[in-house]
Amino acid sequence: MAKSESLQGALDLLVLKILAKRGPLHGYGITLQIEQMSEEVLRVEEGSLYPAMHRMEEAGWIQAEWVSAEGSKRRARYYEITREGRKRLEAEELRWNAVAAAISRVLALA
Amino acid sequence: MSAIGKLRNVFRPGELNAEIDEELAFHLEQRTADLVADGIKPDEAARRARVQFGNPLALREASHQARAMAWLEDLWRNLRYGFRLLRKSPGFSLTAILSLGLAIGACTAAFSLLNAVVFRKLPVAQADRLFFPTFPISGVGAQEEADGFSYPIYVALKAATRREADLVMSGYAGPQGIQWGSEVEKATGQYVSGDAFQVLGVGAELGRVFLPEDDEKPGANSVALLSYAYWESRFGKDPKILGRTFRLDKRTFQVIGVVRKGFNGVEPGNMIDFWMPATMYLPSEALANEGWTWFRILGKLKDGVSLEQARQRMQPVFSDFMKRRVSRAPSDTPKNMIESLLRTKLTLQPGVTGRSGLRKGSQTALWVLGGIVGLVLLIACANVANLLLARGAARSRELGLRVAIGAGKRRLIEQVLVEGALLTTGAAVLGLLFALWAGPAIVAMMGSTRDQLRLDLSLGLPGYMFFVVVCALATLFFGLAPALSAARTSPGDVLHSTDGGRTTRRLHSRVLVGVQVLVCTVVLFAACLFLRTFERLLNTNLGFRPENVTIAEIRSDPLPKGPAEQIALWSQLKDRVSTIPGVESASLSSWTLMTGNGWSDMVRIPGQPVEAREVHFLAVSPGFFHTMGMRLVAGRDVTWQDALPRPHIAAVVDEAFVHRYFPSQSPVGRRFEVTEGTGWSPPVEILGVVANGMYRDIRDGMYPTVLVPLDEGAEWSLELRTREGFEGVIPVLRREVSRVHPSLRVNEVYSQSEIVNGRLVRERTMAVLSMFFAGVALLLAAVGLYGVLSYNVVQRTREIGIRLALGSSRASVILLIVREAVIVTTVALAAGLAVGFGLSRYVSSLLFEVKPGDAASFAAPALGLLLFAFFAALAPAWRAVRIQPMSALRYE
Repeated sequence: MAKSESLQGALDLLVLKILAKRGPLHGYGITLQIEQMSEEVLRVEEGSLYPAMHRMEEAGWIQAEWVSAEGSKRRARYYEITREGRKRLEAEELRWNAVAAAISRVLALA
Repeated sequence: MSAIGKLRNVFRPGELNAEIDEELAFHLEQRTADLVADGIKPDEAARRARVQFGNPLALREASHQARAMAWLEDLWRNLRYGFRLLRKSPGFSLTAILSLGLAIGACTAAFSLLNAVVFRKLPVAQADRLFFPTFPISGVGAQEEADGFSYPIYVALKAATRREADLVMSGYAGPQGIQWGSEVEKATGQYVSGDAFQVLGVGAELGRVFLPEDDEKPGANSVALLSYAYWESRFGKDPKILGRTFRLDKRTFQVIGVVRKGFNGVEPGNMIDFWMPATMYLPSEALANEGWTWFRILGKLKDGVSLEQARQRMQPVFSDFMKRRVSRAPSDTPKNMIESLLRTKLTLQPGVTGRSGLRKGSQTALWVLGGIVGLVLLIACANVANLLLARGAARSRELGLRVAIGAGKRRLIEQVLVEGALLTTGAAVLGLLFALWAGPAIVAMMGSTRDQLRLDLSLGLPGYMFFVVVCALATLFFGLAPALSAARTSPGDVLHSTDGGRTTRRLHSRVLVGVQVLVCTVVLFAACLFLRTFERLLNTNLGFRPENVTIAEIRSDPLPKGPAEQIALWSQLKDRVSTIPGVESASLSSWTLMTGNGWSDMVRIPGQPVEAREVHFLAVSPGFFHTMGMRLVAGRDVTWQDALPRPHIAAVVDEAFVHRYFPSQSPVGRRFEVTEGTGWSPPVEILGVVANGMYRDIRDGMYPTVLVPLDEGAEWSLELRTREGFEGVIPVLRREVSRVHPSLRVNEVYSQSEIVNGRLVRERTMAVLSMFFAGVALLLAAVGLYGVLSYNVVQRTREIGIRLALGSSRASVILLIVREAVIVTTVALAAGLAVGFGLSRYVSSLLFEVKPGDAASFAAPALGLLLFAFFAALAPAWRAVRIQPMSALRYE
């Protein structure tokens, strides 16, 4: 079940990006967004999203709030990106793009 | 979430888990609903949702760790669990905490003593530059390192090393009677040179310290400094202390300052209460006399100067002094003696921790004491380890089960260690309290009633560091075996029923009990040696009877003019106090017996070569032998007339003297001469011979002694042999003394037994403390044995039941149980005696007439341990033979 760190970073990046664009979402909502936007290429074990979310919450990049859904007894936990999260996203995006570009250059040459 | 939120989550693990579960459940529900909406059957949808989701328990654990401080939470859980376990078995917990606490406390107390006497740096600037010059002299027995100097030599040495070092003087100090207003009390005063405080960099808390000017003109500066501790305890830190005066030896000193806190002189074991300028020393001829040594020299090297450089500056000055000294010796002084005097080399001893007579006398004893309590700590640790192991064994099923359901081994080890730390914490609190009590108690024990020992026992940073390290090491030591054993737990243990991990665990506990017995043997052996030493000293034939003898220090001030008048006064005093009801006899002497005081000189028998050995002298009045209970074996007692018209022409000697100088002749009526100035005295006639005794000290009974008739003098010891107890006679004595003559004053009263006991202080301390700790060690070893045997019985209940069912005899069952213990005990005992014997040469300097191979000291630990082993085995053996075969088989 151990994941390499780069994949972990990628998941963080995806979550932050989605929360930055779409506003507050619960965990399931984020899962759906990832599936949709990546056209089902990125299919992670759904549950592994949650420890990642909780870790980011601890890091202060996102914050969470319990919201009662209308007509349901259930509460949903909605996540929202923080100012710190946005800074983090920016930095991570730049890094990711740089790495991705480098990798594609290498692949093109080889 | 903030750290506080995380911390909060540690203490609400249930709520946190419920929240996480709720969030995960929401996800699963939504996914299932979506799948159903896509037309999949509800059952299938729920299954697919779960498959896609993964293991919710593992995810919950991961999330939980993210949202709470996991380590803290584990610790908290382990702590609560540990507490529950300890509460469940109070007997075990109490034994462990008490024994560990006692041992840790004793170690800490021993450290505080060693720290105060041996390790602690002097609280002065650049203490590592300090040194004390010393030189070898031939003492009573072996060579000794002398550190006493006279004032003229000090001045010469100081001038010679002006560029290499600052030399200051630090007087030999002892309790003195000083008078504040009308109150007379004892305080320890010291003479120092005027620059001493400046050189040491010790400032004043109040007022000022001495300056060189305070020490320039002899007798001119009646000023004094108080120590902070004395100022605090005697005056409650009264700020108006400056300018107050006290009287000492007819002079009035004015307090000009209080020395800063923490500085109590440079001699550990001798806390100074007040200081006076060296030039105020009485009698003042000491300042001009080269032979009058009354202080140590303390030097402080200047920048970039080595000890050897300073030494080379000082040696020529010292050698000149030695030459002058030799030139004054009698012409027929043996050549080798003169040569060795001329060759005497000055040594500079490092002074970073000060210089102390106490250290010389008690360092070995303190180290041995420290070693003994360290060993007791070892035993206590082994004991707790064993008890923890046995309990771990009883819980092996539970542990196996926890491993089987996925508890990490780390968690099990952590749990054992946390439990250990809980025990240590309890023990640490107890230990610290014990140390705070035991340190001063031991100091009180090491001092005598007349000469109390004062030490600064505050632990300070090194003390607390030592304490923490000892606690940590102890935890590690007794936690290690149980932790390893816990780590070896495998889920299979549950299936294998009670036999899980049995062999290794039994090996561990066997080794631990072996260690306990071995160490215990060593401690017992040492204790026996010290006890035997003390017993030997107590039963030594002293050569006199100290019981019921009261000593009073008497001073006559002013003194009658001529020798005859003085002798008449003293004779009158002796006669008067002899008539006090209850007093059997009375006498006077220069010092009473066994104080170590007296003087020594070489003697010469006319017509024989001079021997380079000295004899001990004491001046006594008529009746001294009778009063002290000494036995006159030949000739007669001295009389007052023997000191007139000229003193020192007649004397009584002891058998050791006869043995050395008149081995084959009747000594009475023969003559000898004594060194006097640069020549020899007129012949001294031997009046009588007394039996040998411990007249000087208890350890050198055979030292030749000469008892000369008491003559002129201002201050003598008055001895009274009384019928009844000691207290009733004192007030009467004081009254009678002042009636003889108004000039007479009683200074101090004590008993001869106090003097004798004071000489046995070290031996008594060692005997009492080592016996106490030997008792503790023995008890702990017995508890350890008992634990192992009980565990054996529990482990082998089924086996024993089967054996009994098959017709085994009870004796063979008992043998089965105790065989192991007997083997372990015997082997460890033998090893312990061997180790003890090997170590005993390190304590030989503390023994008296007891050889390390002393048979009784071998036999007693062996017997004691075997006896305790027997008692420890009784209950388990009893339980073993009472096992009912049927219930044993049902045990599974």
